[in-house]
Amino acid sequence: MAWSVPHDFVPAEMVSHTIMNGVRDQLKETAPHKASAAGFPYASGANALAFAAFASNANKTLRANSSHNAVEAAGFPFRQAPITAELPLGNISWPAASAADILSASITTTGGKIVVMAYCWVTEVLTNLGGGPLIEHYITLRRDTTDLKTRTVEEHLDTQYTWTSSVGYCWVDSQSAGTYTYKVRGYYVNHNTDLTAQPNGPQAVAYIHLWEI
Amino acid sequence: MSWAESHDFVTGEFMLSALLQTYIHNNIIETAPAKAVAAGDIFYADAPHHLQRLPMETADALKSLALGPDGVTPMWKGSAFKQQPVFNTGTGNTGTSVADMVSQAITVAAGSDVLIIASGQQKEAKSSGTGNAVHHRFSLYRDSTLLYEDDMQQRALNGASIPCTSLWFGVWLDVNPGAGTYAYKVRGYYTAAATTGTPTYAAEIAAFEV
Repeated sequence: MAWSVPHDFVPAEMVSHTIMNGVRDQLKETAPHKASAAGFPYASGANALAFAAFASNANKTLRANSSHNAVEAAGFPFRQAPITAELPLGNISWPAASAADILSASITTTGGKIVVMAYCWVTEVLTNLGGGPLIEHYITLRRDTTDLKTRTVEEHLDTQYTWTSSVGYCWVDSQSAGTYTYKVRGYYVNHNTDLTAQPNGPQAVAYIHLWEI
Repeated sequence: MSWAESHDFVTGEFMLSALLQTYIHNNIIETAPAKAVAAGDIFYADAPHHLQRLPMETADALKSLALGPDGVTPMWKGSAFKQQPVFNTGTGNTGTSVADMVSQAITVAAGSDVLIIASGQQKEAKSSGTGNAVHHRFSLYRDSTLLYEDDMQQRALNGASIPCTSLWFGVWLDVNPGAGTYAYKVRGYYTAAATTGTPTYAAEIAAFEV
């Protein structure tokens, strides 16, 4: 049914069924009459409405289609504000021999993809440097109890007394609905018994950013 | 013209023109279809019982809605990813000529940008030789086009099983490559002034269409 210009009622006018059917037809063009399922009303042209459908839990935004004659639900906005955890610069107890958590952050997803951005920088001044020391440095990205990726840094220190590693991760995780904890874990292995770490512990920085898309 | 609260008609009432004009004509012209001017208009309330039209943004522009600077009028704002990110990982051994460490294909629409976030590691244990300069190269490609390359120079000492490690992290916004399917790749190789052990590598790449 096409829209017609609303009738102007005037005094002493006989209101005919034609006029009232015009009113009926206009009511049929309104949003409540045209709504048939969950959706968003938009103009499909002058004086005409249509509905953009939304799938359940689809987390969409709107756009004009490529012909610019309809509105459609589209895109993948962030499903929630990013979650951030940060370990600011300072001395920490860097684990020896076996991994332990350095920093963690949790996110509850409804089934979107989780983008994990993580970074860890650690530097350590070593003393009692002997001949041919070899150290290993492990920095792991973990989801709950599952290791996603480990960077292993092996260095020969020679005459250097400072051991520094920095690791950046970008990981896209596809998980079902639930709450997940992402962790930066680390430890070091020292193959030279003459080598001892600085008394106050290494300096470290770490962060984790979680996005749900 | 403004919306009038609906009239309750009663038995024996005359349908006066003023009544019909107020409650039928004037209310109809306050509805969304009466106010629709062009395809893509959406509607919002700016006062009780009063709608306004908001014209759609340009074609294919993914926008959300926000209140404008006056705190009352909605406007199209922001952006959104056009698809969920795609991601891949790779592991293996680096050679002395450039080769893929990891590749991820993505099909994008015209006008899209592609955000690439990638990371990698090359690690080797030098087995012999007298030189001490090792180059671990990491490069980001779109198909056969080099977008950029990092040369990580390391000092590998003489002697057996003396390791050296390079860690790499790269971010690149590929602005409007055009509609099509592209393979974004982390590629790499190593060079050394002396014989070294073959590096192992691990690399990851994520691609976002924006």
